Amino acid sequence: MPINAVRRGIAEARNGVGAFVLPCKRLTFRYCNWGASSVGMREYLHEHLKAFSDKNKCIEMVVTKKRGQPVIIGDYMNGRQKVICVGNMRPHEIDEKAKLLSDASGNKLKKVTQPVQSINESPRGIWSPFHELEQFRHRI
Amino acid sequence: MSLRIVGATGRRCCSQAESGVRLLSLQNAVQQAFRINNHMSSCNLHYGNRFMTSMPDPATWKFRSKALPATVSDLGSIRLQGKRELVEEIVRQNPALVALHARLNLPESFPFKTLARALICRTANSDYVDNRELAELGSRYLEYYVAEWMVCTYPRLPMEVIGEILWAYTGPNALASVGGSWGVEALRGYGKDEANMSMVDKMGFLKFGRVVKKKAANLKEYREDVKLNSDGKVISLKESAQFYNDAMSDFVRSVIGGIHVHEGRDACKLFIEEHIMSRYVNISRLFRFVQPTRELSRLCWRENLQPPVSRMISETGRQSRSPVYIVGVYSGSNLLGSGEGASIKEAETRAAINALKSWYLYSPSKVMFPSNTEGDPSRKFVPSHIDQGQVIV
Repeated sequence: MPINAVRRGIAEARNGVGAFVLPCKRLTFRYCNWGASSVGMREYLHEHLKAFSDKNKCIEMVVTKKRGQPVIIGDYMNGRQKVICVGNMRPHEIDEKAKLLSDASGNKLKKVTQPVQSINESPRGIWSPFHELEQFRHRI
Repeated sequence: MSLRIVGATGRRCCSQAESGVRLLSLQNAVQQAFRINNHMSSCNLHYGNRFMTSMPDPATWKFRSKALPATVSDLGSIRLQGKRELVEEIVRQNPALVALHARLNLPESFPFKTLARALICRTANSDYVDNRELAELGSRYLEYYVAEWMVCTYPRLPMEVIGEILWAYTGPNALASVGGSWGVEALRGYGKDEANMSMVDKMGFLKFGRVVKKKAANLKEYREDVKLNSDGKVISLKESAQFYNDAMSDFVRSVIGGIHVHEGRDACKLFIEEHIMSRYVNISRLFRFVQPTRELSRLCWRENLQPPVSRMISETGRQSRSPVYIVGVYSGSNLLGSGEGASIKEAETRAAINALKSWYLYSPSKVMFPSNTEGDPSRKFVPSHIDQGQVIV
């Protein structure tokens, strides 16, 4: 009988096992030219953005102008977006937020209960009552 | 000169006056190619096995010549078909492309214009050279290295499973996922926003378009998506674009091809290991057996082992609602495999399947790949284990 093969989906990505690709692909810095809440953002764009961009060469930096509150938008590999309003923030605070976005994976925030998360099965195996020795088996 | 310069759309792409000038510059290019490249070994690429041994006569020279490229980075210049080369300085202005280059950790010697070229599919109908040749080269190396890893690590894998593993790692869906994980976004040539975008803006996107089905003298017929109703009458006819998965996988293959050309064989192998082979496939789950007990019996006969006998290892809950049986398949006193089940038959089947999987998924303790000896004459080639094949039932 020929063995039939089953298609179980594509190979699962394990970012970092081989090469690591930063999940944050684009940061959009949106500023307003008139509003006072954008003062810090405008200063950040003038003074600090170049250094931040040089440190994070793999993130595409986009600067756009729009009336309203200044905002940083991060675009990630999983297709999601994270938006942080940086209105009335000073440049060093904006830098912190930009770093937060650049470090993020784009996944929804989830409470982590276990210290280890893995797709591999346990190396020592899961205990089975049926594979105990005869004399140690549980008897009802 | 009766040379007609044919552009990608099948129409003449330059006027009569210009064609004379164009012809001269192409002639110069060919002559220069032969002056520089008299010894074929300096060139990484050669078109088939035919080498032109004498200077071509311009009067009879056809546009699609088989001339060798002048330098290594002259990829596919032999088949430019009236397309333009990308310019490094202009292409570097696109931030998405620069970011992509950094994200993949590509070295300085990998030109941005090759990366930009990898993003242009032939179906994009662009004025610029496309990724078809690079994709062809990259796909060969990709499939070779993945297949080599698989066949050397698991020498007893059946053909069907090998095909599925190759699909899981290098199929269009997988490579499309890889391309997406590199942050590449797609752009089809005929959206409203795209018409206003400049050439530089478009460089960072993956470009593809309608698939040409038939090309006549001045016309192209595109592949169409035909929707039929229950009577068989056509209710909708739409020119279909190249599938996103195919376009994106062409891009990934082109990057691999580009790395091989610019960085060399070892860098290409390392790139494939890091980006493609680092992904995970549970090979054991790809098997599906038909009559595993029968197959195991034939396997034991072929390998001169004692015929398999299933014995109960332990059981609990017989006559109850949820019994559990652990059955082991023994060849003499050697346990080949064990399995659990809610019925004895199920447990026996699972035991046979586990025994067969432990046979087919055998992996030698020291895996030796033939490609490890490439470029290193001191390394001794140790042949891998080659199995006699699947059990014939």
